Amino acid sequence: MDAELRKRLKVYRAIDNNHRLNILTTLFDEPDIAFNDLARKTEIERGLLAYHMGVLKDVGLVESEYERRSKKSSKYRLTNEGIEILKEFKLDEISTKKREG
Amino acid sequence: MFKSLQEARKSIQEKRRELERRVGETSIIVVLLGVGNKGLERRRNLDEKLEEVGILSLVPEDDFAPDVAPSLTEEAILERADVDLIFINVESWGSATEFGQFHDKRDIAPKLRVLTPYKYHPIYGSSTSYLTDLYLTHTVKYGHVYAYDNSSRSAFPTSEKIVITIATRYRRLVALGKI
Repeated sequence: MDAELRKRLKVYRAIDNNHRLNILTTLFDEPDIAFNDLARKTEIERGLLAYHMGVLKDVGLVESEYERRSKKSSKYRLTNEGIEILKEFKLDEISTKKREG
Repeated sequence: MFKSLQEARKSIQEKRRELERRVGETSIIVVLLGVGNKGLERRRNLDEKLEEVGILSLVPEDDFAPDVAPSLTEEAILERADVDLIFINVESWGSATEFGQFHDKRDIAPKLRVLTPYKYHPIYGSSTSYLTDLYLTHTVKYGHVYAYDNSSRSAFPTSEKIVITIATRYRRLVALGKI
């Protein structure tokens, strides 16, 4: 099976999860959000959030920066692929509705 | 347009099922637990090989947010995450303690695949340690304790071979709806 199909399977597996969908739409609304703020907004406990971010990073939908200088906090944003997958499933429109609502 | 995440999720599941049906395969999530230094290097190499065959593989030291204490992430993963398989290579007192804490938890045990140097395996080895005894209990209750030899001096497979073989077969069985 070609690498592209394998990658697609991994992405679908990754986004077939309510917590991770919630994270993706939150990141669409608030790029470069700090880990602790993301935990608060998504209401996902921090240990579990660390795992879900790991999954999303592993399939290339999310990227992060870790700042050691200030509060040693990670910040997260969607990659271009992450934005594309949101658009494919119209999750960007749900985010927009959430903002407008 | 989808009104909610739930509707979007249904669409994702339909597309996922359609693709899986078409290619006859699926994707699973595995976590590789173990110790640092040489063990970490080995897990990183294994992580790459699993990714190459389309398995979503996570090494806690590299993949999980450093904002959270590792013990909290591990507990969350083991008890509440949608992980398919957890491979644990018990190579130190630290990982032995961890294994002792969660090996008998009903939500965790079915996902665990334990790797041990063959000397400490309760059936194939000759050790009489507490850990080997714990392995024996786990084997009897749940199975899935595998003996390896990374020196390749015996007939036992390497830990890498065990993980790749088990993970790819598990994925195949999930794809066929047998798990």
